[in-house]
Amino acid sequence: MGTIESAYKYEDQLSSQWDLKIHSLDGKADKIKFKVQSTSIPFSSFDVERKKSGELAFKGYKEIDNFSVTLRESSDFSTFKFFQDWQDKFYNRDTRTFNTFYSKADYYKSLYNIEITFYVGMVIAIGIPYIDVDTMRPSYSFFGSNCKPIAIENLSLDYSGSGPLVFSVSFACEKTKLYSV
Amino acid sequence: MGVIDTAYAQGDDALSYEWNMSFGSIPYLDVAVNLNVRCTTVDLPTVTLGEYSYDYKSDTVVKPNGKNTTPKEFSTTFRIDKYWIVYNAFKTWCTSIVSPNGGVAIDSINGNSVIRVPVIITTGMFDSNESFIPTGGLWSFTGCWPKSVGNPTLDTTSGDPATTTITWGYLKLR
Repeated sequence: MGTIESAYKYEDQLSSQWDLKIHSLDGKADKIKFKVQSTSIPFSSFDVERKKSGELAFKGYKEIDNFSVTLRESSDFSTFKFFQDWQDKFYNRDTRTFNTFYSKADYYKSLYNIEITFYVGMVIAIGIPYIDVDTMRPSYSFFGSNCKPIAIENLSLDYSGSGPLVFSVSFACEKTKLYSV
Repeated sequence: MGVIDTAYAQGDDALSYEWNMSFGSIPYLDVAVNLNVRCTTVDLPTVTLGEYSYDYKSDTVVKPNGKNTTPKEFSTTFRIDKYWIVYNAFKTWCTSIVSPNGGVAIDSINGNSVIRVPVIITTGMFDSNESFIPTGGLWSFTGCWPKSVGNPTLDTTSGDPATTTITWGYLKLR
């Protein structure tokens, strides 16, 4: 096998083949998946330090950063409302106090899980281009567990704009995990 | 069999005038007109796929990138009828989507849109009974809307019919 065949045989994950789902028990997050434009997956990292002897040593552990997701707003502002309602589960804007939950279970129910799933093509896609079935299969997912809503970023409004209204939200999760679907 | 016989035996070629076009209900066109009679040309989009490439040592690998990069538009050219019925319908259709007075129509409610129609272009010919016999070419566009209605040229020195080109946006091509 030549060099070019060797390089060819390992398929790449395509950067556009993913979706982001927010798992809320009430199903209100179902259509968020279709409004997401872009995101990034945060990871944890280690700090290392080179000692005077030249040896590298672990110095510390840096927790994962916040998730940031950019979304298109719906004409009924349901996307914005979803994230504001989520924030309202934790904070009362009238009394300016954080809410107290009746139980631990109630609290954890308000922490949503986020799943970013990557997709790969199927070999049979060649034979069925005009059949209305999804010819991609999920391969791996990043799962962010027990997420808390942190911020709805400022909305930029501009009369010269020509596209939909987009805005960003950020949330923090306890941990991210990659698993095979 | 000789060369010329072999070439001839491959069958007839598709002729570029053998086609037919059908529309969904065109808004603001409340009289029955046969658009096929006036439509002169159709420019169909080239079906294209996105690609990416990477280098490895001395060579380059090119692969599909999973994006459908077929242009989301096609165009049709019409001869304009004497009383501008079709042209005015298309112009009103356009201005109903984005009004010059500053209003924009809602495109869809739960995916259903009144500003979009299906357009089907089929190749074929009419037999002696005037029945259309399809010959296999098919471009079925769903969710079509006029992106632009061309400006017809009015010219006192010309006796040719005035024409206009409609450029369509669409949702899906099959």
